[in-house]
Amino acid sequence: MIIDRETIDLYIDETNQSLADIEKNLLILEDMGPNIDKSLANLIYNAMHVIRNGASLLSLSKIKDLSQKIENVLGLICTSRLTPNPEVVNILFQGIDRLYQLIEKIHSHEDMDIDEQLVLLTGLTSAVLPDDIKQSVTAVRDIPVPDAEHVFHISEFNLIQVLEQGKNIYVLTFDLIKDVQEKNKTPLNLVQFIQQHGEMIDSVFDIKSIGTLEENETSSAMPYFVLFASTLSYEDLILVLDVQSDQIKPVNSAISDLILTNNKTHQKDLGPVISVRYEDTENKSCKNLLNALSCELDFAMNYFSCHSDKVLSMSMARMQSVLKSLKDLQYQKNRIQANKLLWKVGKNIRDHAYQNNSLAKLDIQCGQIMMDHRILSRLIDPLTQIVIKMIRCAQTDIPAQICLKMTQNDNFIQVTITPANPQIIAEETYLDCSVEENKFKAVSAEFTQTFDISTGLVITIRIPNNVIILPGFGVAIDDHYYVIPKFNVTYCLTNLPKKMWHENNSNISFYHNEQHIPVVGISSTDLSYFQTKKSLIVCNVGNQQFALASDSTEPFELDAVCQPLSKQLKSNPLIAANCLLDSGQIAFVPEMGFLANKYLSIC
Amino acid sequence: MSKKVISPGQDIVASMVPEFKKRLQEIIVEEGITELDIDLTGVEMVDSVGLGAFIATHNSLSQKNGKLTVINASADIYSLFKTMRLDQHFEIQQG
Repeated sequence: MIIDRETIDLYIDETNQSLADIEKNLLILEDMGPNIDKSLANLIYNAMHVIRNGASLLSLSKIKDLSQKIENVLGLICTSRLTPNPEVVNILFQGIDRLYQLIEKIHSHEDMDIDEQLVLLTGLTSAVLPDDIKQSVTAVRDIPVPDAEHVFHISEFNLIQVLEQGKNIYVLTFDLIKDVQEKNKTPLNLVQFIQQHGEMIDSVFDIKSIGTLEENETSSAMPYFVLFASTLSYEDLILVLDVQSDQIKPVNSAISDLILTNNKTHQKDLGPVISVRYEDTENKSCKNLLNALSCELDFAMNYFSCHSDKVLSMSMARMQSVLKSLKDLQYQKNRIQANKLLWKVGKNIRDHAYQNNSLAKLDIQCGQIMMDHRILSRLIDPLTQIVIKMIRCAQTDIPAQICLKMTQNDNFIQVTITPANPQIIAEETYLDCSVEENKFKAVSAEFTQTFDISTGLVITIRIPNNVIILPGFGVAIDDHYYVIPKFNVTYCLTNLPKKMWHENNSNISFYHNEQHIPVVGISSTDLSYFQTKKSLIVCNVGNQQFALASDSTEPFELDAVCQPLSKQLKSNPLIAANCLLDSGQIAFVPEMGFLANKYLSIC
Repeated sequence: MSKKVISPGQDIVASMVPEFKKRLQEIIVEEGITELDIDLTGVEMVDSVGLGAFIATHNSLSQKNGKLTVINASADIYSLFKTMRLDQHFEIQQG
């Protein structure tokens, strides 16, 4: 049995994993706005394509139909004809949610209804298309089989999608007796073999030529035609399919207009003038700033060695000026419109209400406010939890309506969460938000809740406008957490056999990749101390390489929001900055230059 | 309109097809059956000649305004028939 329970189980596992990856990547794509990463978009598209092909092979028709519609929308995103804004992504999520349900009940999925999702996805596809292409969603194109009476009836839109993937369309002709039976193969072998080299768009038997039971004893020929899409050329296809040249006919005349349109579209794609100019400008601006910074650093190095403090301070001021420009540029690059992420709170609330069979509505007002997406993405979960807690406190027979409003001034962005009707929450009711409060503190935000009779319960979160965000890896060392700046980390070693440790004149090193890496400890330099550690974070500072011994087997990635250092910490040369983790614990950013020097002094 | 279920109980492959077709012909021509269910319980494989037998049966029944239904098809046979679009000609039910 080729398609047995194991195959189905494998398909279920792989599809669930793929759907999770698709969801995750869609959120990343959505954050990018109109300037999407095309390679990521293609990755998502290909993942959905694999799901659809698998469903097709296993004849899971509803999964195939729904994944085909999702694939169509993803195809539009890949070709920049559709921006993955929150509305679009939300509809894709609805389709994906339904796919999960179909997969979960795979053996009875044919009984499940997918009409709602199909309508939404088709609407999305046709709504964004120009009028001339819009009709392709419903239009059907007839593709005749050469030298035969048969005609394939295929949606024009599907053909356009296939062409846009750079595939060629062919009609393949097989005789199931000569090409399959006489070669000791089965029809299933043939179908699977064909699908390894492209996509079977449709297929048809010449059932008339097979005749009836009365007409012949044994069929001498069984013509079978496949409408096939593949990136392979005509010549390559003859070779890989091991067929005669007359068994493959490229489809050109029946779709010549679609091929022409596709070529024109691709030519347009080659010259997205505005986008290219924008990227050029941005790159140029980065290059200029980096060049300026490098020059200023060179000058500063010279002054360090031979000039007075006065000149040095002037040089530092110049460097600060360039640094400020770089920070401004980075600040602009990381800002997105708040509504591009905040809609997820609404989706979470909708999902929560759906799962709990309750009714609730969240009204999000954030205007055109822009903020750093790294901060905003960390607010989604605690904001969701607060709204859920508020809904749970509401004493009302009608659906609870909660307002989430975002405002801003020069210093901070303020999020206010209140019930639309203050009276639905009992007087002097406060929410237990200690977990969420920690998460807000971790992004330097201030959390308060107040209650008065006129406004009822009001939750306020204030997020400062200018915070320093350091991408890094969090590790535990000697009962404390540290965030190692990402740009200093080269790799992490977790397999630390005792025989690889070396001690030479009190200098400790670890032998890896045919080199001795000097190891630096936070609180000790003893070999026995290092040998208790679970990992080594190999860092580079300038041209110095050293390893930092850590108690974490797996560093976690985070965008640390740096907090002001206390006076006591400022005097500690080992600490460059500190931040709070979502758990409420403090994490220190080590002064990597100091650690590198520590290694130098050891040497 | 008369209906009958036939259960071959073995793989529908070239070696058994002549006998199988003969039996089908008897059912359709001599017994006058116009609604035929082929029960594929116990059938794990259908080769090209076997496929031809299904299509020939469908063609014979169509001439008599009859109907062929394949029932209890295993997952791979169901998949094969669907992929080859045979479900556009006759009904296929998975076991």
